[in-house]
This record gives sequence, C-alpha cells and structure tokens, in this order.
Amino acid sequence: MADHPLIAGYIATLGDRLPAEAVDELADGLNETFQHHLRRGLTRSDAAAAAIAEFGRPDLVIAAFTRHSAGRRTAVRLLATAPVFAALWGTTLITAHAWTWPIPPGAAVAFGVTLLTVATALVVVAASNNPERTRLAGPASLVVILLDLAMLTAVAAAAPALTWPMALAVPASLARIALTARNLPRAIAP
Amino acid sequence: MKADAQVLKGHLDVLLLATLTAGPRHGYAIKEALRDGSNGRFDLPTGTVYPALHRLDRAGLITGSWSVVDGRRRRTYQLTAAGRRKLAGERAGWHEFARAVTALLEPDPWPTTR
Repeated sequence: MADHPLIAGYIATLGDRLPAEAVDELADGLNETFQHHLRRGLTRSDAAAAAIAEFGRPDLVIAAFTRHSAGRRTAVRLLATAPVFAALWGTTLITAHAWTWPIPPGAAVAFGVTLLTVATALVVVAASNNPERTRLAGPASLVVILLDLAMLTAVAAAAPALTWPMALAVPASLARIALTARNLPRAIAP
Repeated sequence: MKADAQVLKGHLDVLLLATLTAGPRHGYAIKEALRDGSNGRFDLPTGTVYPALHRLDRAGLITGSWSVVDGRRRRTYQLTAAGRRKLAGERAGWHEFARAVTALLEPDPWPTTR
C-alpha cells in the first residue's frame, strides 16, 4: 500500500504499463526510498517528492524494465544471429538449386511472407521502449521455431543430395530450435 | 554522470552481485551500496536498479523474498550459488583485464642513463 498520494500516483502510472510482479517490487523500493527521506527529517510531502525524484521518471523506469526484459533480449539475440542463418540457408538454397525442388509456389510465398513478418516483429520488439510490445517476442520465437522446422522438412523431403552449406545450415537450425524452445517460457512470461 | 552511466552499462550485473556478497539486502540498500562503494560515481536513479535486480532474479543469480517488517511488505535480495560462481568468474576476469590495461596505460619507466 502506498504511503502518500504522490507515491500512489507514481505507482499507478507504472501499474498501467508493467506486470504486477514488477510493480510490486518497484512499489516496495519507492516506499523504502520515501521512508529513507522521512528518517532524514523531511515532511511527508517533501519526502514523497524527493523519493520520486530519486527514483527517476516513470518513463525512464519503464524503459529500463523493457530493456532488461526477457522478450527484448530474445529479440536482440535472434536478430543478431539472423545474418548467419540468412547466409547459411541462402547458400544452401542456391547451391542445391532450390528453385527446382517440388515445392508448391504458394508454400514458398507463405514462408517468405511469414519470415518477413516475424523479422519485422523482432525489430519492433528490439527497438521498442514499450513493455507491451516485448510480449510479441514469445509468439515471434514460436514462429522462428516453426520456420526452422519448415526449412528442415523441405530439405529432408525435397533436396536431392546433401551439400556442404546444408551440412552447416541444418545443425545451426537444430541448435536455434533447441535454444529458442528452451528460452520460450521466459520470452512468453509477462 | 553520463559517461559513467555508459561505462556502468556493461558491468551493472556484476556490480549488483558484488553488493550482495556481505549478505541479503533490500533494493534501496543495494542502490546505496553501489553509490557509496563507488565514492558516489555510480549513483543511478533508484528506479532503474530494480529492473536489473528483477532480471538477475529471473536468471537465477539472485533470489528475492518477501517479508513483513513493521507491518510493511519488503523484498530482500540475496546471492544464489550460481550468482556466487558468476561473481567469482567475473572478478577473476576483471582482475586479468585490469592488469592488462594498466600495463598498457602506465608510462614506461625512464631509461636509466649511464
């Protein structure tokens, strides 16, 4: 429970944007800061104002929570490794003449559109200071897993022979599936 | 100080872990330990320390627990075994890095004249 209306207002602002668990921790810290200033001899109003000033603007705190969130870190990691996967799979598809594989054009287009959509979602999460948007990282991670599985299935079903780039791309995708799946509960959690 | 905030960015986790070596602390005490232990250089807005603590808690490096003190709920943080291992590893790495940087930055002694 907040000890002063100013503090209650500040916590309410955080509560609109952050998960309840995080708000509880911040409320505890803000109240403790308030008590610290009361012990220094400030009036209740001055102590509340000093506590809020010391805590930092709500948008700063919300941005810090977003920056440290598992969702945003997941998005940054997936984007940072994306060029490697693009190079591996790009080389694989070119050297294996993927355009000759018996894959329905509609499926290829759907794969491409999904890939672009998930890449956009990850960029939005990585660049955002909005905790609501970081929640996109969970579904985006799931889609990355499905795209990797689709790629592996296509290779297993349609590639005529194993190539060197394929021998690198397949284990890389398997590793990404395993790591992304392991991280999924954290990325999905609020 | 802005430059210090940038320098701190990459080291905040290990510095927060270090403030807990003496035992469990409340978030505000951690913030004060960070400021006092750095002679005032690392004086972060209190509200930005909690997100980092929250993440360290989720990563299993510290653990937070609620208790009731004087009728108020308070959250206290302490190092886990994984946190102690992480801190020990980071300390060793930092000492090695600092020795190398010092060796490069310190001016060579003047050559002796015969």
